[in-house]
Amino acid sequence: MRAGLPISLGLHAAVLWGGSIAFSNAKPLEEGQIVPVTLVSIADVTDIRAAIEPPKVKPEPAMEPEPEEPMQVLTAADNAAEEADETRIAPDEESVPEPVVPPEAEPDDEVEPEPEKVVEAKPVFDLDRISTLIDKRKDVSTTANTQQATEADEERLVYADRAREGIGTGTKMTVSELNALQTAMYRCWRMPADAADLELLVVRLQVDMLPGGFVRDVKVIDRAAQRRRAPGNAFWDVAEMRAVQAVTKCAPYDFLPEEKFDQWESLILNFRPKL
Amino acid sequence: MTRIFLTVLAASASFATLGLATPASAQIEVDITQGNIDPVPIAVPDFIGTDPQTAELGRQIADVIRADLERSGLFRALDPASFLETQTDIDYEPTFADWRIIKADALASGRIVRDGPDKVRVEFRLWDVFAGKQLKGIRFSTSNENWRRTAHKASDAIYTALTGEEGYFDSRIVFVDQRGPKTNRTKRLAVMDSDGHNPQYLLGGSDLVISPRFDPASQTVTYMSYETLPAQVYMLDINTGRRERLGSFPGMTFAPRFSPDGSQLILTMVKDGNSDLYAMDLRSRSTKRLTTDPGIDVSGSYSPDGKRIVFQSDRGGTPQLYTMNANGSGAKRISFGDGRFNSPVWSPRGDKIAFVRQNKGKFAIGVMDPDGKNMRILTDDWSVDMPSWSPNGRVIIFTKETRGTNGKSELWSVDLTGRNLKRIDTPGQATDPAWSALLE
Repeated sequence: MRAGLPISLGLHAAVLWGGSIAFSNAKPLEEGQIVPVTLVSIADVTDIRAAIEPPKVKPEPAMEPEPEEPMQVLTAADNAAEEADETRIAPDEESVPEPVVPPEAEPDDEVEPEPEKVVEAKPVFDLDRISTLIDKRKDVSTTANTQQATEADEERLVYADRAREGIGTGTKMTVSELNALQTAMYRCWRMPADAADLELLVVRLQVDMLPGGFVRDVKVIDRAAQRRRAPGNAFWDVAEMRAVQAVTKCAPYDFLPEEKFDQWESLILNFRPKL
Repeated sequence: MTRIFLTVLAASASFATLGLATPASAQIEVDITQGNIDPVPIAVPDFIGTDPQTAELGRQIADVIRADLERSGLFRALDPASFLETQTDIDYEPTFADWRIIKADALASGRIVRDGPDKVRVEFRLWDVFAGKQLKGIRFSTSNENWRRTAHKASDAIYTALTGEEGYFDSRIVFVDQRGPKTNRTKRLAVMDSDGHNPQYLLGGSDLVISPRFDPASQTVTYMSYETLPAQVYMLDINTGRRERLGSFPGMTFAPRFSPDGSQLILTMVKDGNSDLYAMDLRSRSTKRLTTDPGIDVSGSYSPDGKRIVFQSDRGGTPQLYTMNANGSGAKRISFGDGRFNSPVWSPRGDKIAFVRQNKGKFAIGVMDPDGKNMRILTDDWSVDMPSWSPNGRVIIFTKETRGTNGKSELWSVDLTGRNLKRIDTPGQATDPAWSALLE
């Protein structure tokens, strides 16, 4: 024990000395470039919705393996589809060769056959599959799946095309676009700043637009209901007049995105003065 | 800067349940909360005349209207040189596009028609340029000399149509005209139009008068005269010139104020060493004591509904403002800021009380709500005093004195926002303004 202490001290000293030699040449790290980072909170749900996306169909895998063929089959007459059904139903499920089943036929968990679509595969009556006829949800046969899948494929393609072509139809106006509208209104709207009970003087306007941002029609709505907020206030007429004036004066609203016309074709503007 | 609140009513419930609600079913709803408070640009072309005299009159009337509106601070009268359209007949719709180009929100176009050797008819139409519709069409028949009042009436009509408030242009201001050095001044009662034109003396040259107060219901004023001592309180009907002595009241330093219906006066008297407020019934001339507090209670002013009174009292130690019921009950202190508060005047609109605050060697004119909230100083200076409201309760006229033995007394006005501070021209020095109700 007594020898242990000096030894320990000696070893510690040696380590410290060695460390000081070894790291004496160590240079401080270069100051790294400061990268500005903006934290953006991501919404749970994307702001951009596909226009008419079918529910529960995974869009991504649907696109890749999908050759033109299913389209060709589907564009053929209904009979053709039925023929295809028959030929495919005949063999046993397990014996279906790989190539016949498009990759899509791999039962995608999320691709659940929709009832009405499976019904079309009904014409062939198979005693072995009575149960699947009764409980369609459990019908995972490749035959039915193929039929269902091809239809879903077609829909998907159509949806995808539409989504590409007309992003706007399903896209919400962004905050900045609406902000531009409000900024424009700030310029054009003379608030009745001296009115008594100013903050009660809320004027609701129904504004109908034309493409290009021209005003087709503007009218005061819910007038009676609004006026009940401050009955007999002498400033209602002026408040309404100024709101309508503002909308007319600010036209054309050519800064509103044309592709989202269906969103702003008909707007409700609440002129809600706040001092 | 713009505080913005977005409401996009996207029928979230239906989205959640249907999943594929068509976007068209969700109407975007946007709240606009901030607008500008810039003056409204208005075009007032010279009124059309049918002959050289009426054309000249039309030019003068349009001049007065433009000046009235501009002076209010709420309008910007556009330069006639910028007008694109020259109307020749006001019975046809103007070319609104021409007025939109010059950014006029409103257009007031009129004409003068001769009705007789000394009579004219003034007609005008007010147009909402952006809505493309007529807001008002008015016709006045008047004598030639009355053209200024006609112009003021037209200004009032425009003001009302575009702001929702009653105007105040066709009204008068009584004031004390002061001549001579500070040590030896004559103080005579005078009256002028609200824009400072047509100043006239109301009394002979020997009067030494102070603090005229208008009856809100007529063209009668009360004032105190020091022509003989003790000082006497008079009532004077400006229209008829009839003067009536109410008497002398011990300890009174300002003339009494009328109740809104003109049937009562509220005045201060000192009895037994105690300064209190009294109400005097003008029919019976009987007085009723309203305050009994040992403090000094002065400067009573009725609310426009006649139910409340604001006054100044030092019962709390320093002069502060209090309100009470018209019968003297329920006194409540409403001013709590720094300094000494005096000369409260209840706005004819009822929503504000104007006052003078003396703090750190400066005087200020301010306003507060009747419950004392939202106190706002509108202007301050070495000496400002005697606030009086315009008949619509939007503008305050007051006395401003400059420092020194050669200091001058002037009349100034400021609007409720404190922005539109303007000097009102008077023939000489002037103090103690009192604004009348709108003329009939």
